[in-house]
Amino acid sequence: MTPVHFFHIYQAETERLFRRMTAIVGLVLSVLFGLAGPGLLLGINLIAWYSYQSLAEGQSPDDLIPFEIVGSWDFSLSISYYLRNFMFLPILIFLLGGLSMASEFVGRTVREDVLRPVPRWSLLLSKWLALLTWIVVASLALACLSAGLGVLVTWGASAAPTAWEELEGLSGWDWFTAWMSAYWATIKPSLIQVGVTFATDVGFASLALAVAVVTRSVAATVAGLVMVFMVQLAVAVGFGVLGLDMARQFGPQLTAQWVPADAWGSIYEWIDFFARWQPPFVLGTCPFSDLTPESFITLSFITLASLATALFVFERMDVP
Amino acid sequence: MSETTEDSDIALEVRALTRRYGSLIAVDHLDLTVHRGDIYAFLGPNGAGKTTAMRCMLGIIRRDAGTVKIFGDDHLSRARRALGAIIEIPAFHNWLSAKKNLQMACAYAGLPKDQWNAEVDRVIERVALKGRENETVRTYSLGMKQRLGIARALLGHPRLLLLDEPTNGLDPKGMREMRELIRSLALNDKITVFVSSHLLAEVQAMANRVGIIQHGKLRAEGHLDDLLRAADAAGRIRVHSPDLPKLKAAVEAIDGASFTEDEQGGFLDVASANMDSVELNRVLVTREVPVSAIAPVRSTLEDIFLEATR
Repeated sequence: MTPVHFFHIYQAETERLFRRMTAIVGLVLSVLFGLAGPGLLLGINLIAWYSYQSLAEGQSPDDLIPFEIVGSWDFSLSISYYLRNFMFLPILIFLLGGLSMASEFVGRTVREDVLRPVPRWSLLLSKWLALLTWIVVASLALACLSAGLGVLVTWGASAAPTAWEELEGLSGWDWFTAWMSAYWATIKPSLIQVGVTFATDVGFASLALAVAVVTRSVAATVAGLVMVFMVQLAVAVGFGVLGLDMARQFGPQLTAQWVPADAWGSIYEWIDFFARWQPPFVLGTCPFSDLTPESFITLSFITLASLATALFVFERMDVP
Repeated sequence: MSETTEDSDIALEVRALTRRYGSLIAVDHLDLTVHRGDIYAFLGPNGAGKTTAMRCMLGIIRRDAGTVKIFGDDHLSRARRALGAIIEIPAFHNWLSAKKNLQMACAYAGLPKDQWNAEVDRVIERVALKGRENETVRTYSLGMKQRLGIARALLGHPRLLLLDEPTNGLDPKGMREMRELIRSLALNDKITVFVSSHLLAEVQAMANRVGIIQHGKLRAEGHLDDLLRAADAAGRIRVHSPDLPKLKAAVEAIDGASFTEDEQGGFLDVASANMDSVELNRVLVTREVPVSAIAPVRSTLEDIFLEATR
């Protein structure tokens, strides 16, 4: 098989995926979801700006706005970011993974592809790459749109910070600011967030394909995501509970009869050690949300193991 | 491993093909040879193992043992370049147009991109779907889907077509169109055709060689004419008589002869290895049996099939 042949298969798979109604609707919704938080902020800031303009002499802004603007800003941005990237997008990725692989078993269209003069690994790999392409497009669509809106609302802003200027937060990842200023300190967090999101989505895509190949069912594939979340949350919460300060304080007392007090030091060392290895599947919702090199090693392992499993099973399976 | 050879006279060679499902042996040491230019009919009752055998040959399900060579090449993913196939009802991405489905199949077939449109137009025309190619497949009838399946199988100018029950679900007109298309592909396009079916009259009208399978084993194989000739040589003669009891008594008296009786039709089918219809007529006349009609019975594929799968 030549690289050109493989590229044509990848193109065909990508076209198939992007012509699915689920993929189109998902693309639109993922952008809207990403803009929902910043959109809320726009409303908040418009209220703030309007209120600021109409302040009477000696009146405090706090008298007009019953909430703390910056806090609300951060909160809605976080909610929007996490919901889109770690709830909505994974669900879509699993659904599309299921549709692009499992539904081909149900519809028996996979047989027609297998009958062609191509090795099976190339079929699976092209589906995986098509899924990644969809993720990149979904992320870029949001980034470009939010950056565009960022340009729109910050263009020609004065040097003094205003409510309007704060609307550059529409970019979500401070994309425009980072690009314009080109300061590494500014661009780095944005890039890390983009990188983390994409790496996590690659993990989701690989898991989705593996579950789809093994179960051959779209419903089971989506259910697989629920399992991933449950396991991840259980692990995270488990580490969290054991690692809580309260547990550190009272644990040794409550378990004094069974666990020697001096053993707790090494127990907590182990908890801290293992917690660092959690993949960032539920970043921001688990107690140990800080990204660590170890968590990326785990994520890479899960990604590769999922792909290897999918390839191994697909190579050997009977196609209906 | 051997490369596909253009001059290989054997289009498909299957040796000791075996596939088990647990304790059930679906295909049992199957040997088949399909020569270039054949229309080879692969026959068998329902559940005989035809589709399983074909799936094994195509590599879409695993085989437990045996070898499959397509034009001398046993590397299936490479040998499929010379191959087009339909297994049962062809499946399509129904939300896409027929043309888009075929273009995507061109991509998988490894055809150069600048040839896709011409190739799609060629096969669309070949199966008489011109004018309907831009419609989504979900609007197609079963017959149209079958023809579109053939069109897809024809992409890239295959030299061997494997068709599994291609007339399944078609009305009589559709069956005839499909039969004519298959014949035309073999005669005009010089494509070797391997077709499975249990519609024996259909097969007899188009095939030149047959293989009959039952319980996963090959029961008979050969040129259709040879098999029919061999069956005719067994010698069955149909005799009508107004006096059926006297006819029966006379046949019973002939050494080495046996008969089957059709009471409603008022005739006997007489089987005798050493007597033709002229000789039988002479014997019956000498024994004063009134004979209203006598003629040798020509064997049909159905007779061969029933004999092989008895």
